[in-house]
Amino acid sequence: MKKIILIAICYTLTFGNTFANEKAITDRQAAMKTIRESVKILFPMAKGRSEYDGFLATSLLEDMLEVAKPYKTFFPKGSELGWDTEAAPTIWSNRSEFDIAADQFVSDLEIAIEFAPEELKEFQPLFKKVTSNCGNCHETFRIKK
Amino acid sequence: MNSSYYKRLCFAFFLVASILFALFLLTTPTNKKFTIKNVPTQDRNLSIKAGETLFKIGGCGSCHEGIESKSDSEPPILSGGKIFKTKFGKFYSPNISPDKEFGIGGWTLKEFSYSLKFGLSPNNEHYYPAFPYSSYNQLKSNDIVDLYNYIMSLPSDQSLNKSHELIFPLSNRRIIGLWKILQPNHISKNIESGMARGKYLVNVLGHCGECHTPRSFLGIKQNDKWLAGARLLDSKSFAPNLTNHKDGLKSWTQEDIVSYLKTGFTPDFDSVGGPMVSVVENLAVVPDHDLYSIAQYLKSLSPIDGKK
Repeated sequence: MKKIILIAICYTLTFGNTFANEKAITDRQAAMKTIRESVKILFPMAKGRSEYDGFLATSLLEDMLEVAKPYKTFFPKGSELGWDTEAAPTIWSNRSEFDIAADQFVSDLEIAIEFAPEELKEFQPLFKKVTSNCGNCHETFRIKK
Repeated sequence: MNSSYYKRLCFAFFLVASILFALFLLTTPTNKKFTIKNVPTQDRNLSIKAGETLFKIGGCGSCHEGIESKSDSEPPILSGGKIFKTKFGKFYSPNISPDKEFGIGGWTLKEFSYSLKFGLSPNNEHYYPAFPYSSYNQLKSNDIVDLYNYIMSLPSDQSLNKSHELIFPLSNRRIIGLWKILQPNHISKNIESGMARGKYLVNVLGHCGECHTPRSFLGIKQNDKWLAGARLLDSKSFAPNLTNHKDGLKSWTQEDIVSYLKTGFTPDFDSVGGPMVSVVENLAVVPDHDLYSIAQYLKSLSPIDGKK
């Protein structure tokens, strides 16, 4: 009986962890997908290629904020590899810098949402600030495979 | 019996000596003949301005700018010291600020040209090909002059160069003589008198092939897979295929390429990452017509499967 319990505990510890890591990886991938989908609509607006809609823009920025807020918690230790993750090892070796970068993204989004730009001219610099985070963070913390 | 033994010994000695002598000859930096043709006589300030754009397309600052300048309007400080980890060891970029003692301030235009085109230092030593002279070999003379004038106009810095930490036998610079023989010059074979601007920017000044072309285990770029995508020498990330292959830019329009180079967003709104971020930052000040030339050239490439 003891043996069975022991095996059960070991099993949960091993695979429970694996499932938690998988969830973290799929969560962060889903978050990035949300961000990408929003940018896909916002970018042509910022460039004047599609009509600017202040309400839609702010709503999309809020979608981004919702996934950006918990984003840095989606990288627990043990989730470095697998499930096609493109996370760079630098996230774990340089954690404080990664957290600062994630916080910067959240704060830039909050500023833009707070402003709720109704005019394209107001939206453009705010959006530029928000999207400057993409490259800044991906330069160090993402690996293209 | 004895005499045949000595004969063999003599022969072996002679063989080893000739191999060593051949190696010595092959690895000796050779004096190449090169002079700047049609030295531009334009105003020095104009030359410096032109040099700045060339410097950005060439991405010189991405390796040699040791201290990030606080704003874009400030001139870059080329103090070097950036570390590049590869399977061959660690490279540190040198100080190329115009400091006479610590940088390249004492270099003549000729010495500057020889370093860019042939990878030779003023002391006639080989440079390691981490410095992309095999691309720069086809640089136009007036571009070299403009780059020289621009770099010499920048602030000087007194950072001391760090020695590279490389695996044996690469720790000896002479070995690069062999690499130079093995690395054929991609462009020289099909260079036309009026090389299209885009081709020049991609293959020569922009040295895109240094990352996007796969290399053999000796670090020789494979000409039959030019720009077909490659794993970077830090072996973690991948520089994508730039040919019109389905893994590459097949679905991209010229506008998509220009937009990516300017903003860092792919047509699918994925964002630029890794070392390419710095390239996109550099290209921010480059005129649109140059970016369109780059896009035009890339779209003209026949599809190559880089993974085969």
